Amino acid sequence: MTECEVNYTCACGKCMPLIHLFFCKYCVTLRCPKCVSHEVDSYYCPHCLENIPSAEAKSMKNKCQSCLECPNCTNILQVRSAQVPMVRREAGKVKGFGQFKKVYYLQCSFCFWTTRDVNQPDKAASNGPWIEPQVEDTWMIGIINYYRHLIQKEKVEMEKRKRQRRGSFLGSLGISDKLLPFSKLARSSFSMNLTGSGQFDENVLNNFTPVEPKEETEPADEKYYTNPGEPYHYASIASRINQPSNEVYYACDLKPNCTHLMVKRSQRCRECEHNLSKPEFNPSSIKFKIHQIALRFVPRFRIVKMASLTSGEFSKVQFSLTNPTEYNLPVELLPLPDSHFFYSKLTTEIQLPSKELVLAARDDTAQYDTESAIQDFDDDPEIVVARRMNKLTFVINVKPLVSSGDVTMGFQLKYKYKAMTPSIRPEEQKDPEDVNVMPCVTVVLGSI
Amino acid sequence: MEQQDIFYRKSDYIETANNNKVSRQSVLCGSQNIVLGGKTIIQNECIIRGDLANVRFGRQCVIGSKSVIRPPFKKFTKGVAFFPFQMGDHVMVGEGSIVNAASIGSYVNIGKNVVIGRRSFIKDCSAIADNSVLPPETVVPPFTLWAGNPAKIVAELPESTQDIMVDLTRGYFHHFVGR
Repeated sequence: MTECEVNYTCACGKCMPLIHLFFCKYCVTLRCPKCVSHEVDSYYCPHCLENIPSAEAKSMKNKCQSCLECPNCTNILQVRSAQVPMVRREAGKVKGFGQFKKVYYLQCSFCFWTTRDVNQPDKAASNGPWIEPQVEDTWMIGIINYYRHLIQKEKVEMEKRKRQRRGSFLGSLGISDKLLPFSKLARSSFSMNLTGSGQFDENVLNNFTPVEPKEETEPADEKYYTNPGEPYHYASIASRINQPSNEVYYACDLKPNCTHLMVKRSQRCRECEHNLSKPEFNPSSIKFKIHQIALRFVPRFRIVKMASLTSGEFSKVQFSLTNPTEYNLPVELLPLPDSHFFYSKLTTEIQLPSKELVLAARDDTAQYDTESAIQDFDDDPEIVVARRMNKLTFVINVKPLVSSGDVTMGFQLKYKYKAMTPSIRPEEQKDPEDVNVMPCVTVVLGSI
Repeated sequence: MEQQDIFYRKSDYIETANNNKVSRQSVLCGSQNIVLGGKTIIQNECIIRGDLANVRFGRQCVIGSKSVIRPPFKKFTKGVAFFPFQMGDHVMVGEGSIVNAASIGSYVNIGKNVVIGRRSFIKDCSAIADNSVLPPETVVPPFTLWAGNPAKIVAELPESTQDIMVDLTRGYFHHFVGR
């Protein structure tokens, strides 16, 4: 059985539920998350919820240094304390035990993995340091260095080619040869500085030896065939993937991982470049400085009550429309245009309301009113079933044209959006201008 | 699809002056320490342990049947201490869930059969999927969906989460009809 779903068509042609969409007030159209540009506002740690400046986040490889994850289950590790007797030694030999001292180690509160399991020494202070600074592999440094020089070489070669095509590059910049340094080397370095490319060392590129593939791998140790397996001695594939730089093989070599940072994003319309959504800076805040979600601008269409659908027969299906605006909103329901991609997928014949439906204004105080306010609208009792606050429940007659499969319907909503032209001076503030908005709605009513 | 009517027998529920609906079949231990914000529904066979510490619910929360709300504890060298538990507004707790969190923010959706580990902090506008186990002392940041055992972040929630949760809890209260 297919789930019932109502999708709105975005300006780019994608169909999505209304809750995921944005509404651009300036283009007066719907925008989906795929057709807006996402911008990173700030980085924060999902555990300690602290903001991290972008430069710091980059230098720390987008990881929080103070929150550590369990290498087995990726849960956050907690600091635990223990009392350990101090060992008295004389001439390198243990001579007895003295007073107790407090030591700290990390423990996962879910799988109970501890830093003691991997023989990581306990710390005297609760704040660590838990991770030793990693010494970069010389092999890896060599590769990075090789690629850095290769990039420089390619840049220089590209510049050379450009210059050959355009003639004298410096001439194009308006610099005469008389003003340049005399020697050839000085001239080449001068032009390189101008173009922004650096130096490269030919020796580094020539001396680099790539890893050669081997014909045959070494045969596996005999013990793997004879001894019983000890799966707990080896790190799981998930744990190994989480620590690619360590190349861990045994579980005893696992180390705590740093938590990955998360980002707060703002969305921007690609057409008019206005912000559609901009969250507040604080990571634990749910408020937005700009919050143009479609739910607050476009009437929400939902299925209220399904009727038993029979092929070739009209059934009354109840739907609702909710008005998110603070003024009464007349809405018209029009047939889906032929050009819409969903038109070919329609499997029903529908009788849309011929008159426009007037949705009552949203009133946030109405929910505190125990006496339900009587709304005086000239409704057709054949179509309108009920009204409650800003919601209108009505009926559409639906006739499935298929004997089996998904029952789909579609239509176009037409309503007027009051577009406000913002002005700094209140005396220049114009009256809101009515703009027609016509989003297409596609509905899957399940299957028969 | 909109919320359908859920019918209950009026004799099975106590309705307070603030429109809270509390099932007679629920167990409220230490009821003097339990505060309900208003229009909150506590369904049958729920256990709320107000005897351990103060428990405070916000407005328009729904506590599903057979769920357990228990204030968090912390072990010290001299014993165990319980801390007060707070829940924000417009929170849904699914059937059979066990909540041991330190605090739950507003507009949070907790699925069915979820176990929330002790002293977890669930921030506003977040969600826990059905059958998940949230490890102890986890911080759930806003606009994230957690799922699995142990629960991990599996998706981000849309910017409209607050509006969806307000609509969901208001709709649930409206369609929770006594007869």
